[in-house]
Amino acid sequence: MKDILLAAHEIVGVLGMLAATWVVAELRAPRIDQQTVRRVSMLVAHLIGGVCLLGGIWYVAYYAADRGIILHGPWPVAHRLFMESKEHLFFVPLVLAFFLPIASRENLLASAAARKLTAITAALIVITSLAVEGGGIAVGLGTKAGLTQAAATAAGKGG
Amino acid sequence: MTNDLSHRATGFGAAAAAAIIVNLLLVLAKETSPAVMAGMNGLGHHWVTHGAVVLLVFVGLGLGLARGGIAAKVSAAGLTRALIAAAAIGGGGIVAFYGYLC
Repeated sequence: MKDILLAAHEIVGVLGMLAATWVVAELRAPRIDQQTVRRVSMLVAHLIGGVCLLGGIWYVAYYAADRGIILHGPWPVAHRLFMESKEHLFFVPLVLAFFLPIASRENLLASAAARKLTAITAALIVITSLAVEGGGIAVGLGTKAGLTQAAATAAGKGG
Repeated sequence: MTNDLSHRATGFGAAAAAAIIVNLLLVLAKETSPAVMAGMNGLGHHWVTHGAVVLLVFVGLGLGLARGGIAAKVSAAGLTRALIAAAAIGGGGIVAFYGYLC
């Protein structure tokens, strides 16, 4: 269950980022399909909301063991900087993802300001989500380094 | 000052910018004050409390600003700049703060 949650929140997060990129691309097209922008914006909100649920359950219920491994390993910064930043930075794309469908309900065909606001909101979701994903990679590497060190110590004692 | 956005989009856009800054302020408060952290943990896990506060600010302030007719007071360009600045300050501030603590 723990690993399924971990993998699922990463996959759903990447899909959310891709959907936000789609919104930016759609708004840069010569002929904007307003309905597509609105539907994909709603998809972004659902996907990033889903990440909050999946990642939140994993973080609250299961992360303590990984944190122990990281803090006793050679790279404690993976928790102290990357995980601490990531778990709070995540609320930035979450709020923006919930705002995106509201922005996309404006008249995107007539209003340049609405198009710009929607595109910039989607772009900010992509940028901040990339930072969160990068933090996740660092946390994974920190856990791996901790486990590798523990295994090497155990092998040294056994040999 | 021009704003052809609706009160709803302007209100929730401003609320999103405010919620992102509140997110940073909550991080600073709970990491520097054991009492704040204990209070947030007392309502469940501090991260859950943190997220609930941020989302409540977004929804509550958004509804309030939208009903208050904010679109007449804020330009569309100003709102877009505020969102960019909030994301940069709110996001960068969190990373800088935890980097400083390391």
